[in-house]
Amino acid sequence: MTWPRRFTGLRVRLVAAFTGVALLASVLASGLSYVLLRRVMLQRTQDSVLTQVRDTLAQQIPQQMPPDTEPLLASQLEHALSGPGRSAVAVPVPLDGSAPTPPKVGLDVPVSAEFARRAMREMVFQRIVVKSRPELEGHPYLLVGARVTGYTTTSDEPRRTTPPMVFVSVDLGREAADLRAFTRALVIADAAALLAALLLALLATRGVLRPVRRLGAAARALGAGQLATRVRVRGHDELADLARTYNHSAAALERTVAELRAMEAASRRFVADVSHELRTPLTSMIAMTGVLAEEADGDGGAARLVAEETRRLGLLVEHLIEISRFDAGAAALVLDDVKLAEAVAGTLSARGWTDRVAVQGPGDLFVRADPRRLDVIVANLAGNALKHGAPPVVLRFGAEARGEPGVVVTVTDGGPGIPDDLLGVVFDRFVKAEAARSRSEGSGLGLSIAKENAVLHDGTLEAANGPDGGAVFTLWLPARSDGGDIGDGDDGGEDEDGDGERA
Amino acid sequence: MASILFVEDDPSARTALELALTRQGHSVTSRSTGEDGLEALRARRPEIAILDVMLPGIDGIEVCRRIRRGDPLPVILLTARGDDLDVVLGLEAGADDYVVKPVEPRVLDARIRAVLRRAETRADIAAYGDLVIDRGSLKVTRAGTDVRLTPTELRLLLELARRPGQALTRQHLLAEVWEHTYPGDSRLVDACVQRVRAKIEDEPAEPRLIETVRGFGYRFVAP
Amino acid sequence: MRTRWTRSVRALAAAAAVAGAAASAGCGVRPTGVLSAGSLPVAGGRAATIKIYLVKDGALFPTVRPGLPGRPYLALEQLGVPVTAQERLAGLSNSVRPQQIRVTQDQPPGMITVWVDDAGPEGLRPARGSHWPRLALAQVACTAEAIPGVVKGVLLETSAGRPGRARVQLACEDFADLR
Repeated sequence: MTWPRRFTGLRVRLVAAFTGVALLASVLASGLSYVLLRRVMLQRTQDSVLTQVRDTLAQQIPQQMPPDTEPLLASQLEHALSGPGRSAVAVPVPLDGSAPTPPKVGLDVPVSAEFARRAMREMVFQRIVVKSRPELEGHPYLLVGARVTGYTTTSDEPRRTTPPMVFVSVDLGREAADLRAFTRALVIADAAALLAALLLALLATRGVLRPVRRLGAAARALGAGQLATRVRVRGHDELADLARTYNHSAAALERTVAELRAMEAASRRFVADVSHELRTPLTSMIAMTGVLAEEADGDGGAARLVAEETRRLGLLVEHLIEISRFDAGAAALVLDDVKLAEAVAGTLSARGWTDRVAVQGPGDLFVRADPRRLDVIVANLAGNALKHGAPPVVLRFGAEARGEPGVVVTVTDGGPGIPDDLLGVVFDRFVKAEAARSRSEGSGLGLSIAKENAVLHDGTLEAANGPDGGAVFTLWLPARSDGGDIGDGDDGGEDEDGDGERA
Repeated sequence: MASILFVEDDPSARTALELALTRQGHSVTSRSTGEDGLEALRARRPEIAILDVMLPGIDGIEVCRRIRRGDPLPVILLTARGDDLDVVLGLEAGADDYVVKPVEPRVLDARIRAVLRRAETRADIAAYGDLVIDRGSLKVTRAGTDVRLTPTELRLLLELARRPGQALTRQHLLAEVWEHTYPGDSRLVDACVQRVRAKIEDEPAEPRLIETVRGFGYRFVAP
Repeated sequence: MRTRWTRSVRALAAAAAVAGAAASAGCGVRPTGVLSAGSLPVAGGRAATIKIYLVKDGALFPTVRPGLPGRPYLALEQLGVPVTAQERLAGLSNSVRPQQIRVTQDQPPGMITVWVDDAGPEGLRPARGSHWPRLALAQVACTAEAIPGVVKGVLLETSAGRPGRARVQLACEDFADLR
């Protein structure tokens, strides 16, 4: 199972790692600062409240109390310790050593029995978050409990001269609000840090990945055949080494390919040159053998055979030259608007096949093609069917779009079809259907040339066997209705390319 | 049948084709260089010249160009390369037709007869503006002065002028004028039309008598 | 690859959940248990002692009690509470009935009004059956004049008594026979 590249690509991974580290650092820093600040803030508030309670108790309660002044003192303490956001309750100290009854009213939060019990022994405080009251859900309070020590009382009437103890509740809402504001600020700061980290990461990875991408693009270009592609080497890191290695490899490859191409071009040029050189002597030979064949008395079989073979040799040379022109990329189209019915009729009548090939197709179908090359294709397909297949040979043509408008020409015959082992190589050079008859006719290049001509038109030529056994050759050419004047073609003249047209 | 000047440097090809053409009934004068060929042209006044392109000294195309300077003598080029450059240069130089080696004598004979064949003669004089075509005497005059056309050019003009206003395809013209079997090299038509335009049009770059029908062929327009 | 991916996704989700829980639990003011803030404060309020006139053997007898900070008229208020056990042992008693006593300052300075609750059937007249015998009035007058700043002029008033008997002007020197 592989994931799409964009999720696992180097860039994404690098950016994610970079951003993750930055985010971790900034969250850690802000978390720490939050905890520290909260501690300091609460500590300060608590200290101030505790100090105030302690001081108030110590100052308001004398060492010895006048009798029956406990309520007086209690209200005095409550008044002194109350204020905005805080409320105080003073209750009598139980003299039997039991825990005092926690006050039910007067405070913002309830006092637990445990708190009251501990408040008898020492000064205590507790932070409480309200849960029971829905309107104050989550609201924090500080609860303080204390009583004084070091007072004197009478042994027989301690109740009348024992000072009260106090419970104070302080609203911590402001601190909570401050903390919320601080949290918001931290979140914004973290988001900003994340954004900055992302930008930095993108910049950094671009710096790292740009040479990698360049190398990739260069390698693709090399693969696509642009052998002169090189990358610029910058810096002295591993990527620079890689780029240098790539450049060396590309240079070596380019040299090798250039040598191979030069060798191939030389060998092709040799074939072309040899073929050209053969033309002039062939001219003499054809002329002379023709004269000899006419002068021969009686049957004159030998002279006619020589004349025939000389013409075949001339045909072979023509085909070799045509093929080498395709190989050299020198073949050019001379496009014209061709009326398909006329072209087919012209091709067949020029070779005397009009009676042997049945033609079916609309009379007004035009195709933009090189008439000479179209003639070569049609002549080769029809000639091939007449020679290797059996009657009836049928040529059908019509319009057929394959992604774009086009025309299709099929040639079928009633013969045994193409042997399976030849079906894939029927357009290869010098492939002949029947070894026994291969000597007799044709150059073995006709179908190759037909295929090359079809490809030159941006068309296709395919061979198959029909359902009833005969061979089916299908030519498709784009209609190419776009205009354009006739350009320069390659050679012209009357050289006839169909196999076996001299039957 | 026709007196032919044949210039070919390769001795065996020269001998073979001379023999073959002689057997077809022509009287052939053979020369091996362009200079000799031009000399023989002045001395013998042949009806047609067949020139090999590859010649020592001045080549066949140059010979053709020199002939065309003052003579409507039909010229057929004989090329061994069959390459575009030869064909295009030859047609620009004014050649009426070309054949590619190895050529069969009967094909060459057919081309020669086609080039020399006179258009059908009818006592018929047509005037198109200041252009006057006399089909009887096969003379073309423009504003009173003779226009010297080669036989091929004349046949092309007559064929086009026979059906004014009708567009004719290149293949049709090749079949009618050059008597080529399908398919012919349409550049022969294009080159010949250029030459005719240069002789009968006021502004050959903006032709008004022979119009190009884009992607199709040509049309003669009577003014 | 699939299982690894799934596992890493699960780990990531778990980490995110933990972080979210920590964030939501760690934010704001957290509750605590009961924490000690040190030992109990020591009572150290400074206040002058107060002088109260009680009764011993039918005559006024000055005695001293501890004061309270910020309550200058505490002495008069203390007249409304019963004597302590110690004072009773020393033969002291209080003619003023236990009740709520309030003091307000009047104009001019040095004049005060003492408000009492218990008027009794005779009001503030020291008649027979009155809740305010002469000895009680003497206690109020002399205790008031013993307070620093109260020169003279004590007005005893009750809101409960009948008109004409609800108000009486007192001075300690009027009760010289009881000293």
